[in-house]
Amino acid sequence: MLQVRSVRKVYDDRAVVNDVTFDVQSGEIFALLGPNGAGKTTLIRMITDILRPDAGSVLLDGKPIGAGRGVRIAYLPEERGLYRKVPILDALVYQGELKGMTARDARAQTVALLEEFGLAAWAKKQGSALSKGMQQKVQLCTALIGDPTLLILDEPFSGLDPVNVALLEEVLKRRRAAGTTVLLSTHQMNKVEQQCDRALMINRGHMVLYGTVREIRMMYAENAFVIEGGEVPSGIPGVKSISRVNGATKIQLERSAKSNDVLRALLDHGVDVASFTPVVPPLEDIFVHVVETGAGLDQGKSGPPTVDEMTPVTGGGR
Amino acid sequence: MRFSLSRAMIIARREYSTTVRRPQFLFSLLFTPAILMLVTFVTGKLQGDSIRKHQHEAKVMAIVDSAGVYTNAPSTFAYVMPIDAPAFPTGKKAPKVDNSVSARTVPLVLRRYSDQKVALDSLNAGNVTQVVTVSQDFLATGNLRMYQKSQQLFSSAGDDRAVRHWLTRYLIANSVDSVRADRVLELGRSMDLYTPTRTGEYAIKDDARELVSFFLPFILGLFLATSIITGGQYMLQGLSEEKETRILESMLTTVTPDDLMLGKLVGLGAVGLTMVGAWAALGLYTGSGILAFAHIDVPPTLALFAFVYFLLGYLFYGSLMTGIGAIANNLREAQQFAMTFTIMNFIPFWLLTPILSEPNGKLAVVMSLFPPSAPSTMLMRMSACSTLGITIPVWQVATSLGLLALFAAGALMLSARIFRIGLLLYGKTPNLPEILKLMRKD
Repeated sequence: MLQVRSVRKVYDDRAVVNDVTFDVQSGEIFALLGPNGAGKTTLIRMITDILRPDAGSVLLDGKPIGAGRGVRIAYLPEERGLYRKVPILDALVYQGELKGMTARDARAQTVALLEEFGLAAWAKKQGSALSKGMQQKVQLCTALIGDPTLLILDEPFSGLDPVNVALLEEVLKRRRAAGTTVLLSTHQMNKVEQQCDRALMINRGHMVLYGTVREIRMMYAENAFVIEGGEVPSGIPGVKSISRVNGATKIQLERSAKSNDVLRALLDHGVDVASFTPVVPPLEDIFVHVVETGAGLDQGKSGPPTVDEMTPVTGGGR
Repeated sequence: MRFSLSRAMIIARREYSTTVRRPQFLFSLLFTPAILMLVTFVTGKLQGDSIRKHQHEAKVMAIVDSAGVYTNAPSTFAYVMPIDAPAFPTGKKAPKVDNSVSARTVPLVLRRYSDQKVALDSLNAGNVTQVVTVSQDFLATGNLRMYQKSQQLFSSAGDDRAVRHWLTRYLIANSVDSVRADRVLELGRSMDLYTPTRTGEYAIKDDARELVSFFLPFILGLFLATSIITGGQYMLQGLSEEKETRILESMLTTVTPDDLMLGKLVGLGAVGLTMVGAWAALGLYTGSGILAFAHIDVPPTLALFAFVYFLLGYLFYGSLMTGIGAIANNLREAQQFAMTFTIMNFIPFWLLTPILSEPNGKLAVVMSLFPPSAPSTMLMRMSACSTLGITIPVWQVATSLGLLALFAAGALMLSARIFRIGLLLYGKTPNLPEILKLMRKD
């Protein structure tokens, strides 16, 4: 659905986004990850045609992104607000009309959205009269009105209590089931693991990880397994070390060992194996590791690359 | 420019409907003319009362007559004030004038002193209201001095008609008969001044008409300038709110910056036009009596020119405000920037007296050709000339409109570029070199 091809944006001789290429498939929830200042917002602004790339292209269903303006893309920025002195119903109808809806349709959909988010009773209240959480939900309604095909949400969970987080997750699932594609930018890695199909991580403007969430996590797996069941004796071929972790047994495999061979050896030794689970680091640990080590970037540099230094980078996850 | 007319019109409609429902709009709409009328009425009334009070006060004049020309003059005298035209026409009918002689008689009492110092001591002690010294060589040189305690700024030409009348009357009393003396004393007053009317015919110059010919251009110019700036101020407020709350950023996935700019300009221009229209209707309703009393016909072309100058003036200032609103970080900064331009619009009001006293003079012409001050100056000139019965050369009107249109188009194009760049700038407000750098990159 969305094709981003070698986009680059340079400010003051610094490449804020450098040669980034990725696809977002129709109907998936795609995560855009990266530390603060990595270039995520600039990348999103190029995807939404607010900024023009200095090089590269952004296509929506094979057409230049500008063609989708007004109808197909909705963007909820991280820092956001509402019209303070305008009733939320009017503000939402206005956004709907700008997206090409008639006033009547926009009003009908606004009422439905407010119902969905539990805000129907507040329809005639001004933005300033709402709590922060309510404002957050109204802002989501602003993005959802007009049924965009590509929904770009920047930190949509921030400011929401657990009940509303669950509500938003449910809304996203419903939208996805209805065919909406979601591009989610967030620092909440557990949400990415739970919600997203694929992810892209950029650091200092470069792609450093790209793939399905599972692929990315498996790339950083330790070649270790957690076994629940009986005691693991020493001397099992291919097992380098054995330790206890939270009441279970963790075995570290030798570099050349294959997990199937080790499992067979454990069973041959009469070990009771109730579960045999690979040790995969959480996405959060991978995120911290990649940022701290600069994985995927040329090592030994300090600060973002200059224009002259820009070279294509192969991300660690590709 | 890249815009969709339908989206721009949705924005325009929304800007208009939300702005005209704001309490501050209603306040401006109703209170601006009310305050203006109140201030005009109160200051006029106070000034008139003050003048009348001083006119009718008894005067005790000390005279030091070194030339001896007033030796035989009487020590008491009743000066009959001439009847003035009413200072401020206040209704549809001409106000009644009080013709009673007693109400307009100023008693004058003379005290003779041989020594100027003693006379001045008497003035300082408050025993006399003024001292007149007639020098020894008065008949040869005409040297005459009057001393009095000043109570007002610029009062050197205060109402000393009673004293002058006494001095003149008794200077010639022994030389001409009383009839000729009366004619001499009334010579200035009995001579009617005829000036051309709008149709080119000569008619008696009318004080009331002259007064209206001052206030009408002033009020029209002020309303025009206020409505132009009001639209711009709403632009600043709206843009600042949308930028601060980042509403603009999410809107830009739906609309182009040019859609936004055009929609806002049209919507808020309509707000300014509504304001002008309402004021014009109110002015015609309440002021028609005054205009009729002063025999002034406001030509319909004046309304047409007011409309054209409003459109171009608003386009010029509204565009500038759009650029400023997009670049500034918040409303406070935006208003600080905008102040410079707002002042340019009001410069003609600081130069009101020279412009209106000579509406085809050099200053008035220059100010009406200079685009930032052209709308209010030209409208003031047009209404002043209309009431005075003179015309503005066509080339001046054409040049003024042409230059203003050129500047408005330039401001629109420049602001459109600044607007596109500025919408996404957050943090420190950029300075001019930074803006130019960003514009080159855009």
